[in-house]
Amino acid sequence: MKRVLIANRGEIAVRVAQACHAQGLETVAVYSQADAAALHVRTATRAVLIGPPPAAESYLRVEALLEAARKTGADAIHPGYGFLSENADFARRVVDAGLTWIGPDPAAIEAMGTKIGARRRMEAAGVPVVPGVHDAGQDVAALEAAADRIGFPVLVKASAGGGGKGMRTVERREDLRGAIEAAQREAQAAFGDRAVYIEKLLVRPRHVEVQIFGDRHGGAVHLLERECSIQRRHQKVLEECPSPALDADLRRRMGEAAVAAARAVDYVGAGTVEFMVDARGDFYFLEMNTRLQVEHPVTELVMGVDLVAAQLAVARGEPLPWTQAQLQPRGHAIEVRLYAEDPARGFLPSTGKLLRYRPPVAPGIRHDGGVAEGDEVSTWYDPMLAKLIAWGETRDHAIGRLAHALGAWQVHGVTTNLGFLQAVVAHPAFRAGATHTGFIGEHFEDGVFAPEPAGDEALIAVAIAEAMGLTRAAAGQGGAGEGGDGRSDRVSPWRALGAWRSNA
Amino acid sequence: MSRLVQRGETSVALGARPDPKAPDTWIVTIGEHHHTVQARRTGEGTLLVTLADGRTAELAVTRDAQRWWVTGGGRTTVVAEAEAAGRAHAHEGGLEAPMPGKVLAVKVAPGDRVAAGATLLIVEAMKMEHAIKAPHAGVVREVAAREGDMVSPGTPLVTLDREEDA
Repeated sequence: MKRVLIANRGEIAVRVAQACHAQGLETVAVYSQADAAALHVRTATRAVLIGPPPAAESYLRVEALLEAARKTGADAIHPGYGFLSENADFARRVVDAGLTWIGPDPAAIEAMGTKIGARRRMEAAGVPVVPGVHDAGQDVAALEAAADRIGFPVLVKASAGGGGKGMRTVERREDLRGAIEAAQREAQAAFGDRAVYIEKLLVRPRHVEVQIFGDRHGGAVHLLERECSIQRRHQKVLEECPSPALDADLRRRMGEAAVAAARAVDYVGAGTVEFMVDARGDFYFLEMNTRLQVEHPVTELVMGVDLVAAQLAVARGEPLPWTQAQLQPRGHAIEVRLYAEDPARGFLPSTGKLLRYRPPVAPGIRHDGGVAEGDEVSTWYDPMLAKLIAWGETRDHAIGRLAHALGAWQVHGVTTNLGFLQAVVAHPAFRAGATHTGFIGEHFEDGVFAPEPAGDEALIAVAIAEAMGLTRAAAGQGGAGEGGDGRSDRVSPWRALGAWRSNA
Repeated sequence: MSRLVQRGETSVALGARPDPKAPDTWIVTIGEHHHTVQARRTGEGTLLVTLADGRTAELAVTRDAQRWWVTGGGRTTVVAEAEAAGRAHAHEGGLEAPMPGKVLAVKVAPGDRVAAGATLLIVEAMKMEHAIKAPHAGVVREVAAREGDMVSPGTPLVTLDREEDA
């Protein structure tokens, strides 16, 4: 393995490229016309344009990706998360083209790839699953009958789903038809597969997932759990490791169940087994994600590992870099996701130019970002801009570091959920570890969050900055007609030269 | 020179002038209040501000078309010019597209009586469907968007008369 094509964009493409470079591997970025000067392109050692902005015409085009690999002499493909990362056909095409697929075997992706299939397999293996009906077909009347059998409230979920897309919570029967139709439309648009199924909605459950890792030599380990209960509309907002809810016994049992699930499909590489844990401490298999997760850094910080480096090693055929006994947790890590969305307006996606973007730098703080100052944030892709991860010796230590770092994160020009993240981290219930999947709805009045009015310090700074002429340059850059200047600088050969030199 | 900026629901006059007698000292006026503060440029877009009681913060200030973004003292604040904030009010009764996207479904027609929270339209953006809901009970006066329309922020979608006005 010498040159890795990264079939993704944003922060994960940057993260994977950095791991490759650290091992002396070259990287190939692929990009759409909307991403010509994006951070992931600037990070890679080669770059190939693969199509127009819509993902279906670029990042999801298998032919274009394989052609880019052939053209650049890439000998391996890392899919990142999202896009084609859990597409068994793509994995198979990569393998058939004689390239190394940095991920689990296509058969394992297939086995776990549809939520319906994975549920059946886990039921057969004796792993507890959430009560649900997954064989009702796609006829609305049949799905309604299935919901009646389970009893409301229910979840309508896309079989190929993830990230909250194609998922709806339904409290009342009269809302079910609309929810099914919307979920099917969303699933079709996002995954090319409109299949949905009905599942019982657990009350105040926690979302706890176990990181697992397998190799081609029969090795399989788990790397503790992640607590991902703080979600909004099934989109994760904050994750931590370890879970404040698990005791040693439950942790051991869930870890064993996750490894059993991995072994059941001869799993190779990084994967995640998601569970719901109810108030009584019973756990249910939810799904298995056959890829790296967005929130993998919290595991890395607590376990002292580099999961992407391990993915590369396992893909080369090496055994796992660690044994189960060597994997000892240390401290606590918390990640938050910065989204381009407006909490004051129902978290609608926001767009604009990042006039200023400076992540905080402090001990125990890690920033995994996909954007840089001057970038345009569009609505073509996922609204997640970056992740901030804090490690501490204890949970309180990590929270303190995170809270302080969030206050220093400079994100100007695009409305984000930053203030909302601060409010979550400051919330007494979060500090007490009392997290569950309804946390945001319960503590933030259905997810409504309005920023506090400006304080004296902010107004004083504005007044003096204006009087000094401090903000003139930035205002000029913000104009639509002048955006080109900053952009052309970033793709100039003088910038690129630095990267070439450092490789020599 | 002073300007009107938005602070919560009200607007306030804001101005600053250098103190001719002391270096790096500014007299800042916020409405009726005067603050004498120390201020120094520390970098690209950043100010070090010390208030009379010693409270000190380095603040990053960026300006876009009608707002300032300020990070410092542990938070980021957006300060809007009062005039810009006033413009949003002009559209009382009208519902605008909140983001760029595509209208997937129009659920109401002129003359429909809707309850607060009723879904009026569904707009797709970033691969997610977003329901545009009635902010209050009322009667639909006009529907300006059709299914399949691409809309950008500010595009009028529906005009809704309040129940008591209707």
